[in-house]
Amino acid sequence: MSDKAPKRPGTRLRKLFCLAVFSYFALLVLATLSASLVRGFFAPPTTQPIAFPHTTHADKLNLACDFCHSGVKQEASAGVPALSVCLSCHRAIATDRPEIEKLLGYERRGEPVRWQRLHNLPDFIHFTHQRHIQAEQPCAACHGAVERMLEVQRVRSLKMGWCISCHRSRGAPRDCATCHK
Amino acid sequence: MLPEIQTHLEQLKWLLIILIALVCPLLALMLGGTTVSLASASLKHRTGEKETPPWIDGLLRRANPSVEHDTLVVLTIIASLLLFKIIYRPQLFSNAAWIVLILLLTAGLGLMVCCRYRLVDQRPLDRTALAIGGAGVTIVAACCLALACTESILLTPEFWPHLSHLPYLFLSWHGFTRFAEFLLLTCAITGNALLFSTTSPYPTSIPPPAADCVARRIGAGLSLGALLLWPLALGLEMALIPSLAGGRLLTALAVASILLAAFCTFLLGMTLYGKIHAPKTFFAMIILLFWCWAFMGHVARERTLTPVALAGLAVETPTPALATEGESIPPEVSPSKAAKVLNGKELFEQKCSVCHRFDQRVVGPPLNSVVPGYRSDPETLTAFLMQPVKRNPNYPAMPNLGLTADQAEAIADYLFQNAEP
Ligand code: HEC
Repeated sequence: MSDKAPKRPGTRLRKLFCLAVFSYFALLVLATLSASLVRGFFAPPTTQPIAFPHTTHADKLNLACDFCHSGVKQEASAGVPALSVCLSCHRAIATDRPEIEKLLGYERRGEPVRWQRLHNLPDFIHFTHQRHIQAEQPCAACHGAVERMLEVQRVRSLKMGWCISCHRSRGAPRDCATCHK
Repeated sequence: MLPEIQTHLEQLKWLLIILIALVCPLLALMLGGTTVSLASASLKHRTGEKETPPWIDGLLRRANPSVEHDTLVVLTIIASLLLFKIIYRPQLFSNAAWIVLILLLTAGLGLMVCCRYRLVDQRPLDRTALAIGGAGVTIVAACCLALACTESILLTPEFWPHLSHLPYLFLSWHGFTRFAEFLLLTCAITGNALLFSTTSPYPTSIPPPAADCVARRIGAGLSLGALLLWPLALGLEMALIPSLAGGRLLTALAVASILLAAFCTFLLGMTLYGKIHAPKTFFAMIILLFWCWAFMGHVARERTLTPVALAGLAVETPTPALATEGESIPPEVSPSKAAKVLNGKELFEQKCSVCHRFDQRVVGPPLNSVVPGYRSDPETLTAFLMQPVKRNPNYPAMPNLGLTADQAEAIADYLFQNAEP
């Protein structure tokens, strides 16, 4: 192919060819970068307004998950605990720590804590925690070892293929309306 | 069966990545070289010894392998597979499956080596030898595909528990892309060997230089094609890789390897125009491409295979055995839970002291005011500790702390000893 050129140099053609190859590579670098960008590989890690350590509460204190996430057994969403739940203990405990002072500050200002949601499902999905708890799924199956996370992170894709593979291998219903609104 | 290694894991991982980076180019050279020589030998076989076009001879001689490193390849592959299993201990496949994979790979490589020995001896290949070589190449390529898919499913640990029910989960587009990338690199390195090969001795009759030129052109075409397709494959990989495995470092590596491929193309072009002759640089660049590729796999694994992500996956293993084994499961259970020392004081300090003092209200009531009420009926206290119920409307509810009966008794004893009056 290109090595026919040396016999008749044809500098114009050669230059054009070089340009084409160069722009091809440049284009694909851009494509790769934008693929990563779209998929959120550059997104900074989410930081929560208060550094709540699950290690202390779920591991050291060994509190059950539903002590704070009280909705998990009866409702669709496990629920991020209301400020009052935190305060039921932290009016008294560790009130001198900076993060707890932040918490008390929210209460004084009458402002809700804007926790960042990590486990987002699309709007058209109807997911209930209650059913999965009833099916005796341990929390860790979908959330990982939360009790070892100083800062909560998402460790499962939450994509449809994963849901389906679990439903299929456990014989759970698989018609569209089970999950899709 | 394999040793459990917890310390030096970091060093082991580096050892693994070095091994992979070593083994992949060697394997690729072997696979590509054998394929080309087999192809040219079978062409020769088909056209008959007499009318063989001279360029086929040229090709055969250029692809003609050196056998020294074959044993090295087999050994490093086995070592890195075992290391892989030791480090990541994926609950993916049984040990038997891994052994079968290793045996298959070794068998395939063995077949290839047999075939190559004949080629090295300049003996013509008959049909069986060709078939054997072809089988070897196919087996090795299939094993590589299996390994690429394994590497890919490692990145989605959430699928592991379901793999035994749904074996097709094993195949993934990402795995195929990784395999395609390996094939591209194989083409590039084989093309490089064909293009620059000087070691092959000119035996009896020196072929006309034109024949050699065809072999060189085939090599250049292979390399150029592979290098041009490389960025496409990488873009595809970045689009397909499981989202939790992706990150900045991975993207940076992908972009770096595309730039490297561009540089290789530039070098190749200059070589073809006769401007430069830099076989060593070109070879080094292709090896660097291999390293980028291997390191990308490592980065992705390190991002997804964290202990917190792996927790909760073992629960799918059949449970009947657990009942008899009792306490012997707890790799998942954190040390604080596993501590079985039934020391009432220690347990109290660990679990209760955040909320309770004996003499003052914290979150819960002062214990001196509640515990004496239970002295006549200690059973109720242990029952309460194991399963707290709402008592006093002035307090929030006490959480269930998941105490065992023994722990609850030990704590109750401690409370009775220390509460006043
Ligand atoms: C998260 C904070 C918290 C922890 C940890 C905790 N408690 Fe409590 N405890 C409470 C609260 C709040 C109450 C009041 C509950 C009520 O009256 O409904 C209480 C009540 C009690 C009572 C009184 C029950 C009654 O009859 O009124 C006892 C005894 C007690 N706790 C013992 C313990 C022991 C022993 C532990 C450790 C194993 C412990 N608690 C851990 C918050 C806690």
